[in-house]
Amino acid sequence: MDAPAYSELHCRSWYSFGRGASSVDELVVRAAKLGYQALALTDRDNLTGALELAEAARAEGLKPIVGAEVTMAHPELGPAPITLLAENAAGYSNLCRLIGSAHRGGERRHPQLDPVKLSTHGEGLIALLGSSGGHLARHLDSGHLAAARGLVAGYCQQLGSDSVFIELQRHLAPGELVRNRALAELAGQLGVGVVATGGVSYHDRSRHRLCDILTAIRLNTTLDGCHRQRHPNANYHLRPIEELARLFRRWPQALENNARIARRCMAFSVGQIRYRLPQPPVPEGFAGQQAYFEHVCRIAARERYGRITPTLQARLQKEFDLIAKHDLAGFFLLYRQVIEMARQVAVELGHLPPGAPLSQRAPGRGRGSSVAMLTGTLIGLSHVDPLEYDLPLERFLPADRLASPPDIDLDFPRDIRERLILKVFDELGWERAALTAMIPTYRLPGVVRDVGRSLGLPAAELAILAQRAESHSGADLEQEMAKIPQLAGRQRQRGWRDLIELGAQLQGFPKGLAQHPGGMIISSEPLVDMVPVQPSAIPGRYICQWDKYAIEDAGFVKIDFLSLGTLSQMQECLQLIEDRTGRRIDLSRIDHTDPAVYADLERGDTVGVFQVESAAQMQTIKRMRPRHLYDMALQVAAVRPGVGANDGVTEFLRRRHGQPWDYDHPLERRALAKSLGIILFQDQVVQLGMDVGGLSAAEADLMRRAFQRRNSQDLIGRYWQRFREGARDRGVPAAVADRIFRKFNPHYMFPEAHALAFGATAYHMAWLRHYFPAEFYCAIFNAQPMGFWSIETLKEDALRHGIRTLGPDVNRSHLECRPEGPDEFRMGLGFVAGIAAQNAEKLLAARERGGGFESLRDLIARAGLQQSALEALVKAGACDDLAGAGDRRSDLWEVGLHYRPPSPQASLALEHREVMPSLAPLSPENQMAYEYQTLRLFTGGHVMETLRPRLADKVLSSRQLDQVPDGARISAAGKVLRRQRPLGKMVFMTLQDEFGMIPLAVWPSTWQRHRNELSAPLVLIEGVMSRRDGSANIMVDRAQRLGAPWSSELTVSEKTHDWG
Amino acid sequence: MVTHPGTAPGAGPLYRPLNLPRPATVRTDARGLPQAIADTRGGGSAAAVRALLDAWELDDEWWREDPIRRRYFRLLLADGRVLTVFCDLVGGNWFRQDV
Repeated sequence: MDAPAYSELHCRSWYSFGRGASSVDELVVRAAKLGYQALALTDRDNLTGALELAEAARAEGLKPIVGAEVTMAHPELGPAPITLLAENAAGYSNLCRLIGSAHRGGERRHPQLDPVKLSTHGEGLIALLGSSGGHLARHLDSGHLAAARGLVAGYCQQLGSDSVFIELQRHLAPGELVRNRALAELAGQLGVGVVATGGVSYHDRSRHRLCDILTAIRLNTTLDGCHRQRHPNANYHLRPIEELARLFRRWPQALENNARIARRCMAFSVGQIRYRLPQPPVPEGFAGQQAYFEHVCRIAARERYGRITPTLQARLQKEFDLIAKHDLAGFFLLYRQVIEMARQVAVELGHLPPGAPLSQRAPGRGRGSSVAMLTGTLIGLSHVDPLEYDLPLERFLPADRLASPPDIDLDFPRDIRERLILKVFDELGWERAALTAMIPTYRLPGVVRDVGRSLGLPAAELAILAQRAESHSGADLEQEMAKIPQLAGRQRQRGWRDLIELGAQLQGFPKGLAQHPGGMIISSEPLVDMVPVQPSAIPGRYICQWDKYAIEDAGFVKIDFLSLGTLSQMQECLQLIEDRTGRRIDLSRIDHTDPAVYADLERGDTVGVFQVESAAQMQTIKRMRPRHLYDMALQVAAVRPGVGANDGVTEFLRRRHGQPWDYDHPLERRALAKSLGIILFQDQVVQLGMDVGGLSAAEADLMRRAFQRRNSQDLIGRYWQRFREGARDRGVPAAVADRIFRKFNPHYMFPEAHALAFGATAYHMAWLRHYFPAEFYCAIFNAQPMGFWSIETLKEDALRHGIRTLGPDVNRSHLECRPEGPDEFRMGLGFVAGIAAQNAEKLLAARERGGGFESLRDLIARAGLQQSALEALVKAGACDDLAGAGDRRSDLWEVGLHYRPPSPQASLALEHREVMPSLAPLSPENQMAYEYQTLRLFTGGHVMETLRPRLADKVLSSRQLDQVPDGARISAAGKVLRRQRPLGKMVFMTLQDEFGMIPLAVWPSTWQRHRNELSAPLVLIEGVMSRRDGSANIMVDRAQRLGAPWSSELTVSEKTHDWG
Repeated sequence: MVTHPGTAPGAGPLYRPLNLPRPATVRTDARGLPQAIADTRGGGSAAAVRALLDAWELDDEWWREDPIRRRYFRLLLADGRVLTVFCDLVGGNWFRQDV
């Protein structure tokens, strides 16, 4: 007997988050291999995988069907799913709306749809009823036949009886056969069709254990704790058609209907949904979007340049032509509208004077390749003049065809970004604007925690494994366990063995939908017809169910609103300068070739400077020796994983310093001339694809993207084929083409225009730091957390530049830090740990009302603070200058003596002076420990000053490192600031002592031997000095902890950025 | 106050697992479906299977020392009795169990 045609109409992928144990790719490949005609992806309450299914199915010659399990509300039985399939575009839109509605109707994470909605949004949908756990199955299982009939009849009324089917599944689950007989009988009575489906949860039988684990994780319990919710057996996989034919042989019409439904749904593909680029309204008198856009740009050009020169005109015309060709005028006008909203927000927040022209005082800064557009600069998208750097447009706007609308990323100061997102929702409405979803995936710590807990393994040991493991991948658990003494040897034990095996399977699984930090999609047509939109965890925000890859595949326009701490810092710094000096600085007009600023950069004196402050950047910039803004672009672009992966940085610097080199082939010249034959920018990959591989600009861009996508090996293989053939046609020998293609890699690189944008911002920050250090450091304190150096490092660095960091003071401090003259600034009360912001504000309000505090008792009486907050202030030294204040120890005593909890009764003013005991003064070490505890730094010095007398003379300080020759043995000590392990190889650490920083490099073998010692807050190391091209590192070979009774305070007060 | 009974919980006649599977002798056809069951009351001849009422599989507790992998059958015997038996897929033996 020939096998009948079969399509899987009910299948959950990993996007069912806890209910599916295979990726979309795995399901598609297996379905195609089994000879299925079509595959419907029916994830629970979402369409997250719809685009991925379409792409993967096309590659495998399988028909994709869009569908979902949608949770329906029920007054007695509670929520349970039915399966809905989209038959056509109307059905798809309805499905999007219904899913969105379910998410808005239920509680967060527990969507449920009011069945009434089906009557208005049922067109084009096919419903499958009857799977286990659903309302129909439960009615039948409990013998409520009338209720079952009523339920089916209700759906028939809403959707039409030819669009309702009763689903029969054959998993060999207990009770299933009996239920199937009842379902088939009911269908016969009501004249409704039955349909065979697989009710699939994974592609292969072997995944049933992972599926069980996912059930336990979803229910936040152990495997033993979810017996009723787990599948009873391992039959929920994609099965051979012959097996299904045998299992359904007594219901032949179920198989016939399977084929019939598949045929009905296969005609629709998600590619048919029509997204139109936004068309914002145009004022009267303009022929259309393009005419208005050109008008706006010409006005801005005259404002900016004074007059329109022939060069300017030529560039403008070129961009206008491209924009017209790709029909993007509306798209750019939309951006202008958004930037205008941002400007309004900036004005509301007091960052900008009203009426400042957009082209000169843009509230944000563009990043990414969009910076290459002159028209972009003119509408306020970017701060870099592309004419000055002759930036190529191709990566952003290729002349042939657009693979998808261009991406534009905008950086804003944090406060502006937050308000802007809400303003966009306000003005455009959530039906037309939504945030992009982000799909966080499982990595080692989550794998260990979640799988380990499901298996019932001891929490303490799981925590050790999660913390100590160095790999990020759940696939490396076996090796990681072997390295940890407490766990080594257990890899074969039951439980741990399962953790290793299932952890490897769970690695990379999506955990759920989260909100992308700033990506928004905006549409002229209601978005809710194109993708389900659901409320985000933050009230007032909405996210769509697609991540950036799906959005790219769907051809939607995405705008990224990013918040950049540096811009907050820059904004505040400029304001503080204006407050103190009256000067209003326009950073676009400063000298961009200032030797004094480049001298700082060349020394690697860059702590706190955007983009060039990491240890790796510091080392590189010394060798790069930048002299102008383009050098800054090279600098920020060079230290990226995509460049480092080919050892590109080292090679580039060698060539920059005169080492002879040549292209692998002369066709590389156009792409790589400006970076000495090394790929530093994304755009160069595109250019090489065109010049060497003969791809069109759009194809070359797709090839570049293919490298960055998940699971794209096949796709890359196809591009390699094309590239090799194109190269051969151009006379490039196969070996050379291979060598060139091998330079492309999946790691991140900057586009050139983005590098220029960031390079310019880096220069601006270095300039501010050089000329206005007090404001610079003050602003960077206020912009914390910036994610890089701790405030203690910044304090030390400020001191080296003549800026003193003053501790907080109850009479002088504000909430935030403020400069006190040109070379010192005072910490704000908000920096005292143990005082919540509202308490600090309470104190400030009391000071405002009743004047400065005269004494500690006055403070206690008027500030209205809790005892613990008062103690924190004393420990932080904020009360040192109060009249009558003694030593901090006796002040603490006094707080304890005078503090009275708030009470409605007036307290008697009793004199306590006679009970003040005479206390030994606080030792400097205790004072330091107090400050680390409350301020995360020691205003009076550095911890190493205290420890130095206890160290042997041979332990050198950072000040003495310059005299140590290459290859000499050396010993040094300090507080650990950072540990980094780029690409999982060598460990780079930075120590800090009272004079500066000490760069360390640790071989993996040494790290293994000394990881406990090197993980301590204070360490003493020995090693060999290594000097190379002007940079220096100590290659560590021995390490020990440096102990002090209070060193635990250091661990508490400061977190090192491990593996950042 | 309650007096300690002097026995460990679970020991002795106080606690007894119910419905423990009991070994059964089952004759199967080529596809592994039961054809006849040896009389469970001992001594008598085998009872033929008249109809297969239901069949299901369990694959569970794989994380424990003794995982469960069983194929169950609910049978109507020629003598009118309804009986549930399962084949233990780990050891290959048949058992009967009242469900």
